[in-house]
Amino acid sequence: MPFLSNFKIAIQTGDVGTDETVYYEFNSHKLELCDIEGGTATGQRFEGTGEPRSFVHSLHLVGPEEGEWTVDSISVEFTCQGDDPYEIEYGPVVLTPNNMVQLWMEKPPPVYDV
Amino acid sequence: MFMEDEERERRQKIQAPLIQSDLPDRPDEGAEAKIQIKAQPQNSMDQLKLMLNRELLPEHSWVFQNPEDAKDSPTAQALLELDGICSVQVDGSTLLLYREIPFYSLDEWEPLAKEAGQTLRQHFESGLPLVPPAALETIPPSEEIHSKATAVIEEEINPGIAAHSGVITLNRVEGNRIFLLMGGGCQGCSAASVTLRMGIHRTFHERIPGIGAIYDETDHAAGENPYFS
Repeated sequence: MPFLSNFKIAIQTGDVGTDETVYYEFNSHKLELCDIEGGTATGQRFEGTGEPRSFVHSLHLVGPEEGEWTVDSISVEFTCQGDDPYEIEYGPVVLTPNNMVQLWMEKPPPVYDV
Repeated sequence: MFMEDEERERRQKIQAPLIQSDLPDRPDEGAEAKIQIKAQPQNSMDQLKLMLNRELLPEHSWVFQNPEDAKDSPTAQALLELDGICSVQVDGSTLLLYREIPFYSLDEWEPLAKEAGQTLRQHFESGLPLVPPAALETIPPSEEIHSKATAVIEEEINPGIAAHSGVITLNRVEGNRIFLLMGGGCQGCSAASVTLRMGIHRTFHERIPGIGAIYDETDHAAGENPYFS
């Protein structure tokens, strides 16, 4: 199980933004991001950093407490102990008070032409 | 701070589509397009995924479990003769090779991947179907697969894994593909993929001739005790 030192997240908001604080869930803890730049209003780009410094069981981006938040794309750069950073990109998703979207993914194996 | 129990129960864990930039171009059935084959060993070390820019088997999926299954498919036969390969799964433009004994590192897959790529290029040159049409005619309707799969789960699979507090449910059937959810002790269990491939796949393929790929749609990171059960 990888030891997640930190991650950087960039969220591109779509048609419906949110004015709430952005939280992530890490191993059942609900935490705020730090080093925040940008915003989560319609069409805005938001960037933040999380520093869990622990073995990762689960990592999610938490939906707002009220209304919808449409997200066009999410990119996450993970830095795990003893390994080079790697980036994962996700496509559109709608976040609500009743969901949270999976962020964690192990480093994907290499892809090559054969 | 801990997420409150009420909130944890309320919030469904969802998955956004993964964007992969290193995939082959869009599948193209045109014979004039240059064949692209990308290989990706899987972290489990026992599987190699081959992704193509053209369909190998449109509409259906198929699994060759042994040389006898592959006797009418020279390409599948050749793939099953590669170092340690024990099973070949084809689904649309993707092919999955399973190795009986996992490699120790991802790098070890590379020579085998190149041989597999060469075999697939020869396959397209041959013009032969990967799966003989007569075999495809044995595929039962989805409704029949659904009812048979439900019976197999209830009567054979779940009693077998109950000792480990595991439970399997049929999430959906698409064509001859089966999508499963692994719950209880199976969710998050580090041995779930082995159980799925060595036990569950075999049982399904023995009991329901004509079924194709079997996929696990479980969010294994969402279990109560992921990786510790």
